[in-house]
Order: sequence, then C-alpha cells, then structure tokens
Amino acid sequence: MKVSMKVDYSAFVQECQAAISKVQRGTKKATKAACEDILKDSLNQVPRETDTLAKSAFYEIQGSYRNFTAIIGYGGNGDPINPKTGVPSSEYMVAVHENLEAIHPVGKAKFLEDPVNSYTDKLPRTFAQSVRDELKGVFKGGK
Amino acid sequence: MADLLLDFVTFMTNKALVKGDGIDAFRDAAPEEPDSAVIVYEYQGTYVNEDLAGRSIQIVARDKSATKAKEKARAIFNSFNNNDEKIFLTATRWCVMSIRQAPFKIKVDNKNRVYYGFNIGVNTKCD
Repeated sequence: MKVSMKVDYSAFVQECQAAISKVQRGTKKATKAACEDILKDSLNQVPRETDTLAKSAFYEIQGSYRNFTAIIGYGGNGDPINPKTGVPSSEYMVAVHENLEAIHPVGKAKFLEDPVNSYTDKLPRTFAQSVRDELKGVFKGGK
Repeated sequence: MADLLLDFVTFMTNKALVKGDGIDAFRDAAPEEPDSAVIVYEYQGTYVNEDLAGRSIQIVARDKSATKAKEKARAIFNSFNNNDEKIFLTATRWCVMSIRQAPFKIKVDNKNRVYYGFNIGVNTKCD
C-alpha cells in the first residue's frame, strides 16, 4: 500500500524566472536614473566659460542584461574642442576637475566626484524602489 | 589634536617625505616658491556622525621635473597605501584611509612645473 504525491512547481519556477527578469529590468532602469541624476547634478557644478566641457558630458551603460557597467564622465560626445584655446575637452578636463585652487565664475572643481559621492546614500533607495515597482503583482499566489 | 592637513604634513615630515610645514610642504594653497613642493588640500567630504567624518584629501607634488613630481607623489602614495586599516598620522590622530586612485598628472603650470596628485577618502575625527 502506498501513497504518492505529485509535486509540480513548474508554475512557481516560471514566476521566479519572470521575477528575475523584472529585477534585471528594474536594476537597469535604476542605473539609468542614477546616471541621469548624477549627470544633472554634475552639469550644475561644471565650470562654464564656453560650455565646451559641459557639452562633452555623457553617460553610457555597457554590457549585457545580467552584468553591466555604467560610465559617467566628460570628454565624450565627440570630445568637443574649446573655441578659445583650440584644445579638446579631454585634454584639459582633468586639470579643471582636480585644480582646487582655481576660481571659476560659474562652477567648481570636483564637478564629477562630488555629485557621485553625494549620490552614494541615495543609490540603494533608487535601486530598491525601481525593483519594487517592477515586481508589483508578481507572486500573486496559487490557485 | 591639530588640523587634519597639518597632521598629514607632520606625518610626511616624520617619514622624511617632505622637510616640513611651510618649507616644502603647504596646506590649502600652493605658493609661488619653491618649485619643488607638496601641497595638501581638503575638499568636500561626507558626514558620518557627530564624532566621525568622511573627509576628502588631495595630495599634490610639484616639480620642474615631471619624473621627480611623479616619484614624489608615488612615494607619498606608497606611505599611505599599506594593508593596515588604521593609520596614525600623529600620536593623537588616527584615521582609516581609502585611496581613490594612483597618482596621476594633473597639470603643467605657466612656469612649466608639473603637478602629480592623488585623492584619499579619510574617516577621522571632525576637527
């Protein structure tokens, strides 16, 4: 005499896989949001005279769905040339960023590092909220 | 406890990396002379709590010779870049450091002096 029990959790597995996809989507959305927030803050701090450096600001997200890298920086967007000096932004951006003694009528040094550091506390919340939004309605329960 | 920048200069002096405060090591501003100098700056940090602050320090080595500027910056970098978590800058000041990058070339000034520097995150007492 025996009793057998069939366990079929394939539906649950499907929901888990759907949830993982949603976590990935939420993470990528949050990464994009973080890049945009940081870059916006950075553009408020970058020294401006000809706007060349500001025009070179960029962000990009590289990689695949489960493993990607976000890059935020300057010297991109074709590396525009300063019309006053004839020098590409990539050649003077480090000096402008690191020179703590320079006086700028608009902007300041550390225009990228400071926004990144300021965002550090907010980053986990950005990710948590984005993933939470994506996961709404997942795991509604069995029949 | 002295000002943090002075403690950094004291540490470097004791390690024979510089001769002394106001001689070839300066705080917050680079003087016109001497050509060979080390300057220590503090910039925006983060608050941790009422006793501890996350502070940001920049150390810059300047010289007419790019090689000497780079070597000086590297020597200072190596003095901080150890595996110990805690560093005693002086007998009364300890800190935990997170070096943000290896020394890199910052600029060349109008007297053709080359500047090499690096940045450090420092957890220590608020002054």
